[in-house]
Amino acid sequence: MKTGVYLCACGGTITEKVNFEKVAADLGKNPEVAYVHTAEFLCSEEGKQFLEQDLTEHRPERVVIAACSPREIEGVFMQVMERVGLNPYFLQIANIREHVAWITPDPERATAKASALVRGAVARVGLHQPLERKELDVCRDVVVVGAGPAGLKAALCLAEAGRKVVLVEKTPVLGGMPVRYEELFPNMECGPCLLEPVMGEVLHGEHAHNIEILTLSEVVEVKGYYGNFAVTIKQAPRYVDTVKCVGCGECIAACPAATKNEFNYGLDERKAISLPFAGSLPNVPFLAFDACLRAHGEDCQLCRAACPVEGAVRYDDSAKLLERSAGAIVVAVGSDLYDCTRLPALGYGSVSGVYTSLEFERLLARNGPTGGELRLPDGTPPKSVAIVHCVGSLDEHHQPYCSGVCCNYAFKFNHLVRKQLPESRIHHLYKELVTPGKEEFALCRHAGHDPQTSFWRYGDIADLQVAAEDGHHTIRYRDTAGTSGQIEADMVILCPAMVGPESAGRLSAVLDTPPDQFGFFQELHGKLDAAQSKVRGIYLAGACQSPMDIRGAIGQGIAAAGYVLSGLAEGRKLTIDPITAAVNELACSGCRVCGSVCPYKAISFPPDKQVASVNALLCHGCGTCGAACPAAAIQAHHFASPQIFAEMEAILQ
Amino acid sequence: MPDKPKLSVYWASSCGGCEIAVVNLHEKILEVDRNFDFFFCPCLLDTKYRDIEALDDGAIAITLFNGAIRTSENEEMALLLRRKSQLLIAYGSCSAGGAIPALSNLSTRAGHMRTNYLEGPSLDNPGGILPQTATLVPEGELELPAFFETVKTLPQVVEVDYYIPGCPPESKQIWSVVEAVIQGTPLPPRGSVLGGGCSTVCQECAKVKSDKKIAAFHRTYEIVPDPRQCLLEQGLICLGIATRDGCGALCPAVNMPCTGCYGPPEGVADQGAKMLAALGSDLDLGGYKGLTEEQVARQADAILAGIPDLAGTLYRYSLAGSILRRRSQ
Amino acid sequence: MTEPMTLAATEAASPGPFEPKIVAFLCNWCSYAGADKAGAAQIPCPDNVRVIRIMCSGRVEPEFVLQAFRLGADGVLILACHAGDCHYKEGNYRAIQRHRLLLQMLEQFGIDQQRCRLDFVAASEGEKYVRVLTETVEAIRTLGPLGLGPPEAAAAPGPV
Ligand SMILES: Cc1cc2nc3c(=O)[nH]c(=O)nc-3n(C[C@H](O)[C@H](O)[C@H](O)COP(=O)(O)OP(=O)(O)OC[C@H]3O[C@@H](n4cnc5c(N)ncnc54)[C@H](O)[C@@H]3O)c2cc1C
Ligand code: SF4
Ligand code: SF4
Ligand code: SF4
Ligand code: FES
Repeated sequence: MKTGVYLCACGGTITEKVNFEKVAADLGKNPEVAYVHTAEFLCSEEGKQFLEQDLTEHRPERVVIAACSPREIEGVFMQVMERVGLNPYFLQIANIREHVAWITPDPERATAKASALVRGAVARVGLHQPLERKELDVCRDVVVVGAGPAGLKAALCLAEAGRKVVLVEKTPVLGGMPVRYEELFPNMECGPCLLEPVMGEVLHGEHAHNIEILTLSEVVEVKGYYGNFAVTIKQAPRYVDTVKCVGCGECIAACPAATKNEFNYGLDERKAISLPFAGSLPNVPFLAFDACLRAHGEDCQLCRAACPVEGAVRYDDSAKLLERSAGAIVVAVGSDLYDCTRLPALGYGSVSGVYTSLEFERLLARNGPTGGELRLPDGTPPKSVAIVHCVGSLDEHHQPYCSGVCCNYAFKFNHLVRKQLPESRIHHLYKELVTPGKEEFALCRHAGHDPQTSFWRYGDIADLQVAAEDGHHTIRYRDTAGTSGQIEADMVILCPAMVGPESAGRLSAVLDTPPDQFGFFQELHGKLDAAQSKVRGIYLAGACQSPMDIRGAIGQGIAAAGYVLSGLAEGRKLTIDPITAAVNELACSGCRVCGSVCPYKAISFPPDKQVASVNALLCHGCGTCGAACPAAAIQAHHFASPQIFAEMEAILQ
Repeated sequence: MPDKPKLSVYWASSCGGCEIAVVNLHEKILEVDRNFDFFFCPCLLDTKYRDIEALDDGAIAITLFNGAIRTSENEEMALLLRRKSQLLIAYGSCSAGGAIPALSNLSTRAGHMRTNYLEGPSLDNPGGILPQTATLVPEGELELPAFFETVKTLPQVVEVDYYIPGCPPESKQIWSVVEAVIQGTPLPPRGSVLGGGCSTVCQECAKVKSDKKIAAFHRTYEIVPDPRQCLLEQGLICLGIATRDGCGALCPAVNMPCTGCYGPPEGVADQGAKMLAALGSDLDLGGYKGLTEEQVARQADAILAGIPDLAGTLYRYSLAGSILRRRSQ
Repeated sequence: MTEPMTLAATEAASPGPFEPKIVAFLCNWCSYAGADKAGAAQIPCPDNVRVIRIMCSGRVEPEFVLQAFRLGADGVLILACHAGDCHYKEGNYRAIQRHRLLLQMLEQFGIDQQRCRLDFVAASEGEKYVRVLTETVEAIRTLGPLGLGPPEAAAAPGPV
């Protein structure tokens, strides 16, 4: 093997300790080495030019560069190799700077060690394979799951860039949680209005033709991988044709059957055929079959009869399984609230007048069960409201983290209650107060300056007790010093931790993206890649990844779209890094020892072959399966055993 | 009958099962006899050392050499038979990989001497007499072969043409060589494992395999395995995953885990290390979330405690031919 | 500058203490970066350790370790990311599991556990890297050469 060796002095910082003449003399005895050339600064522009010319002139079969850390420099020199038409994987870097010159005080020893490392590199590079980056045609369409702020924004960004998007929403409405809020922190803008323009664009805008909206739908199966997912979506029947319906609502008025309204958390009733709430989009009623008289054996046809459009109400609608292909999937299914019944002393579910924050949002909302008026069960407005922060948060026995949103909406509540009931007393019971952000603190300060609002810091939520006596609540607590206290309130609002979405378990099993320890979808990297899951091609947006506010969710929606647009760029094929694992099918016995080791589920056993098969697109090249295979049937490209053995033998000489 | 090619079978350090495999040719043995001059087989025939010495080099067509190289006598016979044979076949697992005799490499010669001649509970050796290579008696000097510190494989001592692994080997593999030589059909490339496949036993094993996760190890008497499912997945250490195929997966077929007698698969230097790699990859700790390095190590140890004599289990047939070969001294 | 050099020269002239040969497998993402960090900080480090870069500690086969011993290494170091930090999620856990098995087996082969050390070095832990290396070199210096030598020597015959 004709190997060219380059020794870089790194401006003298290497040659200060390593004697290049000796290293070169040592290498001269090696039959694999065709020549040894030295350079002062190989990574400088002149250095790279020199390397390029020298490689063109000498045309070595393999190249070893003794310089600094490959982590820093390998890519640079691989590009030079490519420019002169050499396979970039025919390169091996010997790190004689960080691993020798800079840490070995004695020059003689440094020189000996440098020689050994270069020897190892020469031995190894001779066995390097001519690996090629492969290219693959991909599907550029995207499936977005969840139509809250995060999913809507992601879908819109992608559609604007000309991508076909399938927007899958579990409920009959778009908008996620914020469309159910009367107003939004930090600026108290109208909740439903905030997303109106986005939903308008998604439904009827210039790029709406790129978005297929599937409401009442869930993803039930995903096959394939980045660039080529096959997604199966199950759509429940709406019984109303979304195209024909004009949204007049005549059917709703005609319907004789009523049921609890889950969009108001059961605080009121709705018709069997109804809109979730006034103004919900798409403006098409849905029929909840369970509540419909037809489900109970009656042949009621009142809604269809009332409908002015022929064929808009369809009793023969049925569940559908839809197949869509996509290159990427954006998960934006939002979050849930911590189950307050796990803190029974707080009275949720057992004491009337105790509400979760989401229920309270609906009580405040003009399209909510009370038309936005705060009322006690007896119809009178509450004279005092207690807002309990940190329910199930910052607590080892519940959720250890702070959701970072609750204090903000608690002060939003403060503002709304005060506006509606100027005389009322408001109590905040909190463990910590957290309102970061350049605008958020205003609401908190506002509450702090309000003479009718008081703050009580409790030490442990386990000491908090809510008791009710003739519509009146007594909240007992213990402060941080252990002193007991007591507050009276007509209405109690619990602000629970935001937790992973209820559907995370099912969906993450379908997507093969394990949830994190808190039940949120796990990101690839908390800082660098928070909008990417650990599975290539599956992105995360919004509160399903971590508790966050609307701004964060929107930002992540855009980020996810950005990942898709740069990863599955128009006119570009997907390149597959060749440093992956590969199975020798003759040697593989199909024992499935490797089956459970791959962290990316890149290994499968196609039934027609009965042997392992590595999907190079999913493989990240860790080499773990190569180390696990007892039949030596898996080769870890570029880190193959013969290469490692050769390097080891040479450095130990 | 000088025109018939000569066949020899030699028994070095081994149990004799390999000879039984010859006898297991049943009536085919008559065919062997018709076509070969069955010249040398110390357990069946009375041919002497000097008879072999007297032969021209290469005079024996085929030698099936079973047993590991434990003593100087084994080595001397290996060298002699190599010289006299056209085809020297490492026959049986002991000659190919050392097998059971080579497990003594996990101890030392001094240790064996102590156990066998000084400390054994049934011994009566008040003088502490140990065997000697040379002992003077009134009649003259008695000689014993030297007992090596390390058991070697046949290929570590002489060049070997073919391998027929197995403990014991399959009679049909003997027959296939004999037949090829009789009919003059070309033999596979030198160094091949006759009747061996290029994968592992699992390929031939009919058990249903799934992605492996092992939460506990058991010994064969401790559980009754589900006969349909892979035994390893049920916690029985089955070496099928790291053992050359060719045997037809006879043991797992009757619910006994493979103990590895066909040796490492093609391209694998160390059967035990490969088993280790696989077992270490498939331990089921029930997820790693939140575990510290220390906890992972402790939980792994707890599972591994179910394996007595790890090296002896994983290297049952391959220690002498493995990378380390023996206990370091 | 002249002073330590003379010292080193005299040391080299005398037979000197036993200098173990150690092979270290470093995962690319944390440990190798940690080693680079030690380099950037110019922390002096024993020169006995020869580094082989791999992508993840999960790549380390037990065979690598045995082969290193066979080829003359007196010790082997495997350095990985800390728990939860493996770039590939779980490679370091497999490395731990295989290491536990290896230790159990090496004991039967009469090889001291200190000769095969697994430790965890983060990209920021340049100092820990040097400490682990120094400790390992010292531990193995105390143990002395492994002396596996070429396989022929181990197999040399002798009288009963
Ligand atoms: C009480 C309360 C008040 C708040 N007030 C404010 C505020 O004033 N200002 C602010 O900035 N933030 C506020 N927040 C936070 C805000 O609600 C979230 O930041 C925001 O909803 C996150 O948007 P998202 O798109 O990630 O999720 P979501 O808004 O939860 O939307 C998720 C969507 O996905 C759908 N979905 C769920 N599972 C599936 C599935 N399996 N398949 C298909 N679709 C599915 C859901 O039906 C929903 O439409 C508040 C939070 C709470 C709890
Ligand atoms: S571990 Fe090796 S032999 Fe077993 S299935 Fe995987 S690739 Fe095939
Ligand atoms: S190299 Fe790693 S990522 Fe690739 S298939 Fe093997 S275990 Fe999976
Ligand atoms: S029982 Fe043994 S031979 Fe059969 S598949 Fe399992 S490991 Fe392989
Ligand atoms: S990448 Fe460091 S241990 Fe896996």
